[in-house]
Amino acid sequence: MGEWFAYDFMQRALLAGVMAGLLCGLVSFFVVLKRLAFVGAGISHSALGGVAIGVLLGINPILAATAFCTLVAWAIGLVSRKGELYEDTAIGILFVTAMALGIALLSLAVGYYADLFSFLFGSILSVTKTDLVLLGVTGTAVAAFLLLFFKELLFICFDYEAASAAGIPTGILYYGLLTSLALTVVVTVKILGIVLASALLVMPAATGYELCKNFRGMLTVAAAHGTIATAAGLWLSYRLNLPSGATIVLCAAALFFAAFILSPYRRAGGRTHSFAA
Amino acid sequence: MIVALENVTVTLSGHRVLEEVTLGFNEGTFTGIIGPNGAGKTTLLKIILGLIKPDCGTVTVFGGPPSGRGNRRHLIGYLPQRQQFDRRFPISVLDAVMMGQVPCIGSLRFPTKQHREAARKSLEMVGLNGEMAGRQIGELSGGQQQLVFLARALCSHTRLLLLDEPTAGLDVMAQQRFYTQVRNLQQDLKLTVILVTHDLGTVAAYADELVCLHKRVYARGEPGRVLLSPALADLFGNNLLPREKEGGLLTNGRMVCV
Repeated sequence: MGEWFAYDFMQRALLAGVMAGLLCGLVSFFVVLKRLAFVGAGISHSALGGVAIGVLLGINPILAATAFCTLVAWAIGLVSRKGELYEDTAIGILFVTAMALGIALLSLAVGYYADLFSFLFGSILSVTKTDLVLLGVTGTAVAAFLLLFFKELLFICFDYEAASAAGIPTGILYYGLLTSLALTVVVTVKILGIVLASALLVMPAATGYELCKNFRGMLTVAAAHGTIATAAGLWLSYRLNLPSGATIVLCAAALFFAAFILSPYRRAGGRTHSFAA
Repeated sequence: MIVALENVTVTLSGHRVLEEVTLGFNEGTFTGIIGPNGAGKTTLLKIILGLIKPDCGTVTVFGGPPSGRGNRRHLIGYLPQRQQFDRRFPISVLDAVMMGQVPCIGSLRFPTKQHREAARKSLEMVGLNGEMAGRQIGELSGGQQQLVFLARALCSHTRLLLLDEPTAGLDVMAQQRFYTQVRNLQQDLKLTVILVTHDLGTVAAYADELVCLHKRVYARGEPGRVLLSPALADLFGNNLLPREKEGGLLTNGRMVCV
C-alpha cells in the first residue's frame, strides 16, 4: 500500500468502500434479476426527503433517511402490487415528491447547505467510526436476509406466480427485498451521495449478468465488481484529486462497459437481451 | 376426493368470475377444463392453490384448506400460463427444476445432495437426459422449457398436477410430446391432473373427462359427449371442432387421437 493508506481517514474510507461494494454487489444481484433498477434510483433520490426531515426535527439525518426510504420502498411495493398505478409511474411520482419535500424543508434549515452537499454527492473521506459500525451492522443484517432466503428470492425473481403457488410467502419476501434495498441505499448515500447511490445497486450485477450464464458466477462477479470499483475509485480519486463518489461510479461504469464488450452473449453471435415467446 | 369445491363464488375487481361452482376431482383422474376467455378457468386453479379466496363457498384440497395452517401445498405441482421470461436468466436447467424442491427443503435451509438427485430424477421422468441439466434454461426450445417446468412441478412429492394452458405457443409436435408425457406420468404415478386449455381437440384425446366452465359449470363428462353437448354449442357456436365432427373422430363418447 502506498502513502495514501497511511491516513486514518483513508483507511476508514477504504474499509467503508469495500464493505459497501460487497453489500451492493449482493443486493444488485436481485435488483438486476427482479428489474428493480428504477426502484433503487427512486429510493436513493427519496433519501433527500428523509435527510431534510431529520435536520428539521433534530434527529440523526441518516436514521431519518432510513425510516423515510423504507416507507417509500413499501409505498412503491404496495402501489405496484395492488396494480393501481404502473410501478414506474409510482416511482416517478414518489421520488420527485420526496426530493421536492427535501428541498423545501431544507430551505427552512438555515446554514445546512454544506452538509447537504455531502449528502447529495457523498463524502467517503469523512466516514467516521460510527458510520463504519452502522454500515457493518446494516450490511450484515441485509446480507443475512438475502443469503438465508436466497433460494426463495431467486425463485421469486424467475417466476413469481409459480413461487406463490409453491407456498413461498412472496409478498413478505418482496417487501423484505425492498427494505434491504432501502437500507443499502441509505448506507451507500454516505459514500456515493444521493445522486449516485443507485449506480452501485445496478452495475455490479449488470457486469456479472454480461459475463456469466449461471447465478453463482454472476453473484461472484457482482461482489468482486463492487469491491474493486470502490477500492480503485477511491485510489484514483486520491491520485487524480477527483471527487471520490464520481470516480467510484466511473470505475464501476468502466468495468461494466468492458464486460459488455467482452460478453460471451455478444461474441456468440450478437444475441442481445431477448425473451422467450 | 382430492379436490372439492362447493358453491364457490368469486368476484375479482368487481366482476363475477365464478358463480356457485360445485366440482370434485377424484384421485388419479385426468380432467380437462375448457371454456371461452374469461370463463374463470385460471381462477379455478388459483382457488385450488389457495392464491385466491372465494367470496363464499368451501374449498377442500387433500382434506384441508388450500392455504393457511395445515395446507398440503407440497403435494401440488403447478405449471402457470406460459409467460415471457428473460432467456438470459442465469440459471441452469437443473437449477430451474430445483426451484420445485423449495417447499420440501424448507425455510432457512439449504439444498442437499438428495434434493439435487430428486431434481435429476424429475428431469429424467419428463424425458430430458442428464446432458440437459447443465444447460442454461434460455438455450432450450419452448417445448423443452415446458418439459423442464413440468419436471419442476413434479419434484415435490406431487400428487395433484395443475396445468394452465401449458402448450400455448408451442408447435404441434411439441404439444403432442408434452401431452403424451403428461398422460404417461399421470398413469405411471397415479397423479390427479387438472388441465386448463383452449386446445379442445387435443385435450379430448388425453383427458378422462372434460369440464366446460363459463362462470358456472356448463357441462361435465366424457370428452366426446361434452364436446357434442348443446351447452358447448351455446358457448362456442356451431363451428366447434367441425373437422373432428365431420371426420367421425368422436366415437363412443371419446376423441380418437390421429
